[in-house]
Amino acid sequence: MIEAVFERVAREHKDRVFSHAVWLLRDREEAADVAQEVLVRLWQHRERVQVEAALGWLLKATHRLCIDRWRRRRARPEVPQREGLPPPEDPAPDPERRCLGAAVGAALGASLDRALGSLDDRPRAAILLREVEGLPYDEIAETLGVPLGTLKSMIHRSREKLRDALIREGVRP
Amino acid sequence: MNACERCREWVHARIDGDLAGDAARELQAHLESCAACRDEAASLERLVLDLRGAPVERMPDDAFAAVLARTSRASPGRTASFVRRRGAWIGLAAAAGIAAALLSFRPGDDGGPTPEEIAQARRDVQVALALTADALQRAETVGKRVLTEEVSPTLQRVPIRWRNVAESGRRNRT
Repeated sequence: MIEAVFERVAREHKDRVFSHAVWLLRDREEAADVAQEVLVRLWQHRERVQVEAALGWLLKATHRLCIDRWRRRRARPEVPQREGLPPPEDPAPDPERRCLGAAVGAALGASLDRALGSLDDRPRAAILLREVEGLPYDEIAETLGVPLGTLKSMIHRSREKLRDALIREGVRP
Repeated sequence: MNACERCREWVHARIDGDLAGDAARELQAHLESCAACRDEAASLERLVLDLRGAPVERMPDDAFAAVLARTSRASPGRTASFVRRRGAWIGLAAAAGIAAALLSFRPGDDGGPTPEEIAQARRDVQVALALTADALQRAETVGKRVLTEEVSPTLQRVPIRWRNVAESGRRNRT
């Protein structure tokens, strides 16, 4: 992948990378840092990454960097979360700051955000990689380091939890 | 496992596109007769559609500009050296790209392209050239691998005495 191709690929996928990082970290500032780092890593590994496989490579790299951030957060629990998505229990959600609010309706978007925020890190990453990013199961299993059967069960349970959460909130019948 | 529990597993498989044949037909028949499972299946499928329709957020422009600044600083002359190394191929690709751009050019009603059209055409040609160069680079890599891993072992299977005959025949001709 040479320079002009790198720039084209980076422009094509940068928003997917950023969105995925926002979903995983629930913090836009951190997500922007991660997206930058991931795209620079793509540049550094450009000789080995095929253009058609770039998105999968980028999403996996995003996931790995987000895991690092999660670990750092856990190691420093006293550091408050910076400006970004409100925590799941936020009683007065601001639809403007929601990922899904604009497209699927503010109420549903806010509820989905809360429901996703209530999942553990790994199931949240799994269902986002599968349903939002459309990665195949085997790639997700490799990325998350879990057996295929375990991953499928994890995603199926997560779907049911999200669905139940939306029903509880009354945004879905 | 009763029919409703089995149905729940199959609904996930159907969402994943992994359900076919008898299982798909059995699921459909069950959903037609069981309102609870039908509602559950519909709500799961709707959830997945909601997630798949999630909008993509725009990466902040300053963050992407920082990426380009970091990568352009890290690549002095990278493209130029690549082009020099493959001069003939790139020349051919350049000719093809520019020819394609010229062939696709159609003057507007006023008899000439606007500056925006010219700028866009230049960008398109640059990207076409870059893509061609990238394809050639990959073709070279694949070619080397095929020669090493497939062609050479195949030739090695030719009996040695035949190879000697071929070699002496070539010497006689020269």
